[in-house]
This record gives sequence, structure tokens and C-alpha cells, in this order.
Amino acid sequence: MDEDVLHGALTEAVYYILLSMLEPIHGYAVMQNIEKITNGRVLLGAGTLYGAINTLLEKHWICAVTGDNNSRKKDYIITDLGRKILQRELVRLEELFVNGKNKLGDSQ
Amino acid sequence: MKTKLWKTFLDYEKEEKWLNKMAAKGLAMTAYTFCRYTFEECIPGEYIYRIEYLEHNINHPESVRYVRFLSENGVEHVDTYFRWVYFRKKAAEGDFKIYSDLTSRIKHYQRISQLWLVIGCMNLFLGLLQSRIIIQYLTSGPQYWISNAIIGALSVSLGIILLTFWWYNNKKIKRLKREREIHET
Repeated sequence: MDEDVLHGALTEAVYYILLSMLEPIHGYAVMQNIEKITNGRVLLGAGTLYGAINTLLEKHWICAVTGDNNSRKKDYIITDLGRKILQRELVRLEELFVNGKNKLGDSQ
Repeated sequence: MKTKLWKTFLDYEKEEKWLNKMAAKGLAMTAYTFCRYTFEECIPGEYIYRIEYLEHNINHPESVRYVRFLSENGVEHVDTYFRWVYFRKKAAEGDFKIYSDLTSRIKHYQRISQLWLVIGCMNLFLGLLQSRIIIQYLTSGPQYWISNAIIGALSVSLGIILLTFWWYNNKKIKRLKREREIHET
């Protein structure tokens, strides 16, 4: 595995998409979930979501769940690789947060 | 009751604004063919319209998959004109955007830029070809030169308009790319 892939910063959209896919979920619910957990701040466009899902599928960060229900809506779930990337991202975000808090906290 | 209106747009964003204004008044667009819009009555403000220029033709498997994905997300495919697609979503279901980050917006503008460049150059080329024919007729026998002059002038002007759009669109892309250096959305 290329180390750069694991260390690269994720986009806000990808971060929240991965976070929404910890449980099996379909596209529409991803958009609704992200809107809800960000209190309406992040409104993901359907086209942007479509592109992101395709890229994440190609990278095997998520996979489609073959549903036992006969619903035509496809569910997606994060893979182990995706989970690993999400955890690394959380560490990176924490670093950003702590550094910012230390610096800004001092000057206030 | 159906209402038909004739209108021409070159700027799809202006067209989109107009469709949303009509929907706010209670007229929902249901079909489009060459400059002719069909509207049906709706509850004022019932729909939000969005226009997109697709990467592939509408019958391409990728486009079929894309339109199906959108429909699963409550987005209705209203009509198609070449690669231009009209989408709408019930306003009650919340805001409706197709592209929410700078990268995907830039990609969409780039597709449109390419379109304006290709058909703009084609028109310019055909227009100039007409003027060559005019010169030929003027020197050998001026039977058709007026019709050629008109077609040529129209073609050249359309070419110039489209290339202006191409230039304008590229400026937009440049502005968004600068923005992307510091922001994602």
C-alpha cells in the first residue's frame, strides 16, 4: 500500500461519506445523514456524491452491499481499508485541532 | 393545462434561473425541444430545476446509471436535449444542487467549455468557407452570392458568440481554480 494514500488529506465530502458508511446505507440517506450531522452546513450535491461513490468503489474504500431485500436502491458500506483511512484522517484532524487550539487559545 | 413558450438561451445558468422563476410562479417545465418549452401548472415553488451537460450521451450506460442514481435520490429527469439534461426535485425535500464542491463544478464547466470551443470553431470555419465561395461567385458568376453572404455572416456571428462564451466560461474556470487553492467548496 502506497503510504501517501494513507496520509493524504481527505476532502470534507469524502470524510463525511465514509463516516456515513460505517453502517450499510444508500445514497439518498448519505446526503440526509451528512446534512443532519452538520446541522445543515454541508449539503452534498447528488452529482458530487455520485462521482465520489464511484471513486471510492474503485479504490475499494467502500463496497456495494448485495441486499437481500428486493429494493432497487443500492446500499454501500465502508471496507477495512476505508476504515483504516478514516482512522488515520481522524488522527490528522486531531493534530490540526490541537495545534489550532493551542495557538489560538494562547492569543485569546 | 399546458403552456408553450419560445425562448432562446445560450447561458444555461440563466436558463436555469428562468425555469426556477417560472416554477416559483406555478409553471413547471415538462419538456423542451429546440427553443420551445412546455410548462404544466404546479403549486408555486413546488420544484427546483437544475440543468446539466452530461459527459456522455443520454443512452450511454454511464449516463443511464447516473440518471438512475439521481432518481433514487428523489431527482426527476424531466427532459434531454442532446447532452443537456433537465432535472428537478421537490423543493419540500430540501435544497437541490448537483455539484457541491469546486472540483466537480470545475469539471462541469470544462465539459461546457469544450462544447463551445468545438461548435464555435466549426461555425467560424463554415462561415469563412462561405465567404470564399462568395469570392468565387463574384469572379465567375454571382447567382447565389446573396444567400451565401447571409449564411456566411450568420455562421461567423454565431461562431464569434460561441467563442465569447467559451472565453467567458474559461474565466469562470480560472476563478474557481484559484478559489480551489484555498477552499474545497
